[in-house]
Amino acid sequence: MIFKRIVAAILVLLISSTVNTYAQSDLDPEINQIIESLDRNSDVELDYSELIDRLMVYKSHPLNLNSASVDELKNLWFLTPLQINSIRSHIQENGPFLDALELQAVPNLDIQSVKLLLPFVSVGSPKPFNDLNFKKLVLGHHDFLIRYEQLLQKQVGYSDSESGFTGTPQHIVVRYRYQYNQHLSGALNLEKDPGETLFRNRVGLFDFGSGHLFLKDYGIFKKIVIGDYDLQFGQGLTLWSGLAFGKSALLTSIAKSAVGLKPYSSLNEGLFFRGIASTLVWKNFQITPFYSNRKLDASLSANGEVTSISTSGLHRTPTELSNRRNLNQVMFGAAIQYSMKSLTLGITSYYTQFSRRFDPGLDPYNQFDFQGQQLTSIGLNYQYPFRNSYIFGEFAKGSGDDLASVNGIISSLSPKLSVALLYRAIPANYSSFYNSVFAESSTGVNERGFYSGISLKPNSKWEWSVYTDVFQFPWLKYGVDAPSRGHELAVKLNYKPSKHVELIGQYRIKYKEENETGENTFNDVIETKHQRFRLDLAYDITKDIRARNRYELVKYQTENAHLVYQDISYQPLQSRFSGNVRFAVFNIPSYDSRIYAFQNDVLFSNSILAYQNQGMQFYVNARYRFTRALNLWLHYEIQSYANRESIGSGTTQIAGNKRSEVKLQLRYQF
Amino acid sequence: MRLILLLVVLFSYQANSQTAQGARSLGLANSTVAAQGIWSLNDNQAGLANIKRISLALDYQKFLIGQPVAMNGMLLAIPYKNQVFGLTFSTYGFEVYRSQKMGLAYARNFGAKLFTALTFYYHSLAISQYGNSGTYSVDAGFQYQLNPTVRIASHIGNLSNSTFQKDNLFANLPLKIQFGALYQTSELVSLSMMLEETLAKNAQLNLGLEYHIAPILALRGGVSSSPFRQYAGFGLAKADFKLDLALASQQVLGYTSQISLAYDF
Repeated sequence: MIFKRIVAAILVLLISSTVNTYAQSDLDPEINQIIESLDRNSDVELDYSELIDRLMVYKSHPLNLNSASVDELKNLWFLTPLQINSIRSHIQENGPFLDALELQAVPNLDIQSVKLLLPFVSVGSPKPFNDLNFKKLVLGHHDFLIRYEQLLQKQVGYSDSESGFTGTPQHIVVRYRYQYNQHLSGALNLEKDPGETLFRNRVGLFDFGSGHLFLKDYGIFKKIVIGDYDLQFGQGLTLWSGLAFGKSALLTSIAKSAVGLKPYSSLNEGLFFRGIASTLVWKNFQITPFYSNRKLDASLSANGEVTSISTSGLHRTPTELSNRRNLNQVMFGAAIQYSMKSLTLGITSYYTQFSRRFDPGLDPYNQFDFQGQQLTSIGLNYQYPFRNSYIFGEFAKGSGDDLASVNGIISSLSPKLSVALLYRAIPANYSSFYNSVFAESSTGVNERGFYSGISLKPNSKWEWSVYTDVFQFPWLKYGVDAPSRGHELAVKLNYKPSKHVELIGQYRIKYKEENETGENTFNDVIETKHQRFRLDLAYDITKDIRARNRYELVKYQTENAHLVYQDISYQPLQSRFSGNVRFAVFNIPSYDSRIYAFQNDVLFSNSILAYQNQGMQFYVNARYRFTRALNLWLHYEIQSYANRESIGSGTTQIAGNKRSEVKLQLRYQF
Repeated sequence: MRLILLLVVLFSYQANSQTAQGARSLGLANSTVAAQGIWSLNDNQAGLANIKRISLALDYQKFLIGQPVAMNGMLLAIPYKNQVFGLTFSTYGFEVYRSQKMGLAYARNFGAKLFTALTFYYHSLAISQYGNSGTYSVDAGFQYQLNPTVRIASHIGNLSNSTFQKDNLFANLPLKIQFGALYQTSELVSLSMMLEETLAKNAQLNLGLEYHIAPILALRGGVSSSPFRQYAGFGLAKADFKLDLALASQQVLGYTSQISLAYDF
């Protein structure tokens, strides 16, 4: 008895010395590499903190391969469904893993994937250890973060007292996380965007607040969320909120790994639900009922009907403030999932009611957009891992719409070669406010396309992937006054001769039809050609210093644009201090030939920026660890443009040719 | 409308290079410059050099379903020690445009590592109201087995840059240079690629993938860069017979289908 207490005490000491390891991996090269490989091209500034957060949790508390459920493995969102299935089959056939390195023996898990996976998994001791872990802890674990950002130049909007920004230029973010035990956790996020005010005649100090309370594994209830949450089912055709990724040379992005109900803790102001939801498990069924009641920002027409919904979350100018939370959305429904041996079937159904009518307008391209005040959506999805393949798909229909479908297959034809095929057909009249489909266009609506890609890994040093996508838009689009079509071809080559050097080359050519620009009475639809060539070189200069170079060339029709940058990062293992710098030079003639690149930033603030115009960029990030519980980050950035007297347009315009920004972030965990 | 487009395509300055390469080749986006077998007779003839048995093959291709344009081909290969002789006859076209091709190929293998071939063709072309004409052309090619899984190849079609020229009829036969490789990634899967440069046209990159899902069934898919087309096909092999089917699609013009049958004696 005494012996047990001594062992327990020793374990507690050991545990408490490792419990605050959240802070260790921030400018984490492995996690950064994963985020960057997503290759997302988007104009919207998105918050990847949730994705980063999830990976960091597993970095400090690795997932036990032997006892992890499919849903837990899905949280390692860079794993393909085929790989998750292979891991579980391996355990079923060969017994539990004795060592994480055994992953190399799992089919469909190539060396690169194993290397990516190793930091987040372990072959740990059985579950009782984890129970001990939390029971003996001081009541709960708190994680508190505050961030301050500011643009050093003054934007035009601040000088305009009538229709400009009503607030101050500071950007403030507060994040709080609480973990009580393995069952209960909660979060609170507050944000004041630049231009918004802190003090106003309204409830709450901050313009945006989000929070949740999350109960896990409570008898029949697998999850209960009160507050803000995301729902992801099937292939994203019927219901999918939160971040999702489209086309890239990563074959993994073809099949979505839906996690179902997920508590929300990001700063993206549009992509979530607010209310109550839960997931119940009964025999082979998983049932997720949900209810949400939210206020959205909508632009209204003269007679109070909705013309569009804004998800930027910016409430700075009087116009933006008048649109703030002026549309009420009530949504409720349920998703039922049934698992047989390997086949999983799901039905998702929900009803959405708005407080105002939608009236998209009378333009020809708007003809099939959502009209009215309510929407009923229903969808059927399936996933079937079958031998060396993974077959998946979803069918969806809104009331009055035609049937939309997405179906695909990912097959591992040999240990070295994988093939992915996907066919999508989404009619122009398909309406959904929360969907995220693998498609050429951003919403996937009004699109038919066929994607085929192969990935070849002849050995651990080389990886080669090719894909083609053929698509057509049966109806008009914004900026395209006729049904149109296009196709895309992309090649990517990875060469990793050693742990310290990696070379990546990519080439992509895309043909799309767009309206001819020019002063014509009748604008024809012409084919435009868009090419992109990118070369990445990453290498370790010393054990602690890593460098990364990128050279990117974009050719849009006859326009040429290029971007070159040099990154250097300093990540010593035992030091209190780490940091990175970037120096970039770019020449981009217009918006059409813009180039996107991942930006290293303070923790949770990483983003993807679209470079435009001609100039240079310099930024430096630094992190100082006072104690294991207290960390400080600093970010300073300056962009200097050539041949410009002002930068930007509208309310965000700055005078002069320089744009500089500073960020300060403090994190305290206890 | 499509017919007019078709005729425009056919009457253009360059006569068509439609060759009876077999539905296996079409299923692989015609990237088969490094492939071997009876179908190499109209492709890279060096691929004949590894044939061990007398083979006979028939080919039928229907262009742009709904149009009358079609191609028929017959191929015969006779091996003798390290050499293989090939004989082929094919016709292409429709009522107003007919071309015929006869070929004699001589292929030789050196130690099962290096394969070479030289081929003579006689072409004839008849376009209604323009008359008819005939000409000879020469093809040359080689293949080299780099290692057990990779084979590289090169082929020149119409080395002599022959043309049709008689009275009102003038057309070029395309001069093509092709480089390619075949990579056997595993026992069941092979990847073939080819870079083709035709005089006075864009260079084209073709990629094909073949997967033996079962001993009797092979699945194929491919893509070509310019013109951008996608290909799919399958093949059945039973006893000494091989049956192949393939479909090629072009976004605007539609589908082309092909069926071929081969028999080894």
